[in-house]
Amino acid sequence: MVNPNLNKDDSISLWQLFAILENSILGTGLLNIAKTVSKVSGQDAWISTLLAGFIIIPFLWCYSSLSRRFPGHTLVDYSTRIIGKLLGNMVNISYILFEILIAALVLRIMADFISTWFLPNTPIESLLIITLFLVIYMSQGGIRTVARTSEVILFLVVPFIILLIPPATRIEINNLKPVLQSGYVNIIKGSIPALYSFYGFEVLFIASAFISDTKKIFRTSAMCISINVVFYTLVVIAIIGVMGTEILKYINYPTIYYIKSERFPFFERVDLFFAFFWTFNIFMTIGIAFYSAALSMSQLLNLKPKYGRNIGWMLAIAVYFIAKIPKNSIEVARYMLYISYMGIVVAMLIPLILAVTAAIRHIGIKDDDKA
Amino acid sequence: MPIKVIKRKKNKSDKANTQTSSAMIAPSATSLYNKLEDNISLFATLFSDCSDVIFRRFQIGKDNPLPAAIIYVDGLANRQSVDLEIMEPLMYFTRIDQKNAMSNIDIEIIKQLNITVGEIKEDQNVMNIVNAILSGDTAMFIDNFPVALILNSRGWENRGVQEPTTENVIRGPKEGFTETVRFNTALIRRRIKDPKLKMKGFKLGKRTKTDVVIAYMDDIVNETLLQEIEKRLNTIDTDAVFESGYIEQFIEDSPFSPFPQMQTTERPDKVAGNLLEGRVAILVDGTPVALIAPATFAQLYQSPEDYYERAIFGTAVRLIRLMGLFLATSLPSFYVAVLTYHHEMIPTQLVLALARSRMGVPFPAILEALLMEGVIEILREATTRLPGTIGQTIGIIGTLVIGQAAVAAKLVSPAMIIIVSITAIGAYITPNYSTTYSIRFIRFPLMIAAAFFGVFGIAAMWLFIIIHLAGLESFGIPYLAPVAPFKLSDIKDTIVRFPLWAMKKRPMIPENRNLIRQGSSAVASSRRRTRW
Repeated sequence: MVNPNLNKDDSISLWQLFAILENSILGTGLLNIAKTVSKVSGQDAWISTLLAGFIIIPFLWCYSSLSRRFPGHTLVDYSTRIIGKLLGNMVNISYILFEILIAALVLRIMADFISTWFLPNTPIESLLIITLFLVIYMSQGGIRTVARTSEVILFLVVPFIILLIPPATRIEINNLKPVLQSGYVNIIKGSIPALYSFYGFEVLFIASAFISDTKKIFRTSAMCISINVVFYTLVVIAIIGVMGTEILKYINYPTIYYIKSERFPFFERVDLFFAFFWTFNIFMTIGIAFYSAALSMSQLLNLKPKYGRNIGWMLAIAVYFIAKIPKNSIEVARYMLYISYMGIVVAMLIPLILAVTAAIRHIGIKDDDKA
Repeated sequence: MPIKVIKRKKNKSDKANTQTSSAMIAPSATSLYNKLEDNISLFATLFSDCSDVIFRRFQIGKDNPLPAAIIYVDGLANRQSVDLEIMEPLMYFTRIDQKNAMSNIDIEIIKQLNITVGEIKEDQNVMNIVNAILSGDTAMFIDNFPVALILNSRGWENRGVQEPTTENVIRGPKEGFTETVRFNTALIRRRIKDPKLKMKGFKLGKRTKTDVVIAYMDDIVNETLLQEIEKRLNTIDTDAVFESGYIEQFIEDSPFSPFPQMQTTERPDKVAGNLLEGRVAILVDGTPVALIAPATFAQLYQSPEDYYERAIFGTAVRLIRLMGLFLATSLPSFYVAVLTYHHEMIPTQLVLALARSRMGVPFPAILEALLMEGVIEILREATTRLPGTIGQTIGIIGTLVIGQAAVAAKLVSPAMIIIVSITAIGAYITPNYSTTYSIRFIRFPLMIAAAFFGVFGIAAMWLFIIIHLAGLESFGIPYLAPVAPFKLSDIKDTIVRFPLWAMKKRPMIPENRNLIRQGSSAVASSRRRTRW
């Protein structure tokens, strides 16, 4: 069965899947992870991060199982066939809503971030609108454009991750001691805000439909998540090791301050360069979430590709107004926590339920063909 | 990756075919008459008021003369060839037997005539004959014989093979293409002595009937690509093709993109190299500029000299070009952004130095930058069109005098002059001239974005460019390949340039067949093993 909404020429390689996942995950999470997690689990934040990451990996198997059952199909195509029309559409809508919320929230964080660090006098609305135009432009190009842009941005970002290394020489191990002091309950609780940094992997619902080699989806995505888990854990260790948990309570975006703490010769403010290049990455997080929402929406409404391209304009208006809801950064942080909870349902429970139901009911493309 | 089928013009192509065929039909007759006089009057009406078309009647043979005539275009046909190779042997050294003379003349006898011309064809179609005459051939008619002989006598005044003006190299061949497509094909053939090198001829342009040749390696090129190019060429329905740019604009994928989607070159060695990578070259008569398709962004930053010099320097030069690209496009916008919004981004000493140099300058940074970049563009355009000697003078006046005076008058800061000079020079670091346009004109939106939103504006503009480039395709080949989509094996001839012996495979991006380029050279591999 050919999916009418996906162009059959559109296919992406595993490396492109990796790039999309990486760009989708890496974003605002990095800037704030040390603060949000250490608020709950203190100096054991790194254990929470590690825990959160490894909780996710089994769920990736659900995604890959679904895409093996329905190669070339996205969530919207198979959800109704697995758990019925009503439940399936509820799943679809909640997924679209989740992606819109992610896009809106990240957009807001990005705009706040830019206005704090670069443009204090510029109205935040103009930043939102410009970014949304770019996001629409990218999502109209379809998966090929999204995938290739991800690849380019991925190359751009690698050198700036290296900037995180030099300050790490000043880690004081005492800042991380005593280990496990905050207690098991708090460590597990702390993994919920840590999850926020890993969201983005739910793009697998969409992206895996374009992969022809469905067997390797799990390997690629698990590798990607593992790299991020290790990376985030190291970042949390380094930030807490250098700054201690007390300071983290009072500053926003500790990662930037962490880089700022190191003096480089000639370039005195490396943090600004880091922030500049990091906006590319945050943009990709928004763009991929937005693209997922737009594609799912056009599939849900069964639009022709011609109209499906323009659904972005409608979504962009929604994203814009949602992004303007939080009044200040404290509220943004609260919404981030809500997103984390919602993500547990959308990004983890839904694929689990779908995969298990599909396995029990033996539903898949191949079964259909036989019948 | 499947090749994107071009959609625009498709529905027009049927109409185009009928139009062209109707234009081809002659007003009077489509085939020749028996009588010589009828034929001559037929062509005399077709070529009425064409003073450059020469009609020459003469007798074949001395003893039993056979009336004949030749028609050719003065200036297009080589007069010596007409005189010595066609007329002289026919008039002086041909003997026609009495019995053959008038009655049963046939094609065999005609072929045995003494004509010392290399290429002879027969044709009965009037329009074909007209085309041949206008291309420089000589048409010969014989009484009682409804067939014309097309004798190849093409030879006209032309510029010889010279050093190309745009893509200069220090080391490497100095030959460049000329305006005659036949010479250009010969220059390529001289480099690739392989029957697999094919040169397919077309005629494009309803009135100019320009000769277009597509060259490719039969066993390397991707067939779908070749078919797509031929298909797109056939959809062209236009009066005139004067330059390869006409063809480029008709068949490119995204006409409104600022980036060229085909390579242009005047260098036969570049064409030959690209053919061996599985690409297709389009040569057009009347211009020394050939097109190569498909093109990728990385290719526009490669020069044949990268391969002639040793590998490390090939790599180094490519990195310098990338840097030049970045500086030429973004330096003025960073200047504007930093001076307008982010003084803290650069070291204190540098800020102070910049501030001091801008002391007394009445304009904000963006105005200063737009002004100077605008002036530089004006100068550049003016010097390109001026005659050579004056051009240099104007260049000196423009750059030295205006620059110096503007700084002395405190209209612009010296720092701005430095930046403008770097960008002006940096735009030409690309070996491909068409690309300099994109670099030059990307600068202005970047500057304006920087003026409004500082570095965020630059980031947004660059994202826009990256997204645009990522979506761009040239004949189905992603423009940003091999970076996106990433192909590790092709990277070794993109940003870096590996030693020649290390590049055993052809690049995969043009999706060619016959991937293996060479075995590993024995000398090179043994040298690698030897440890002294």
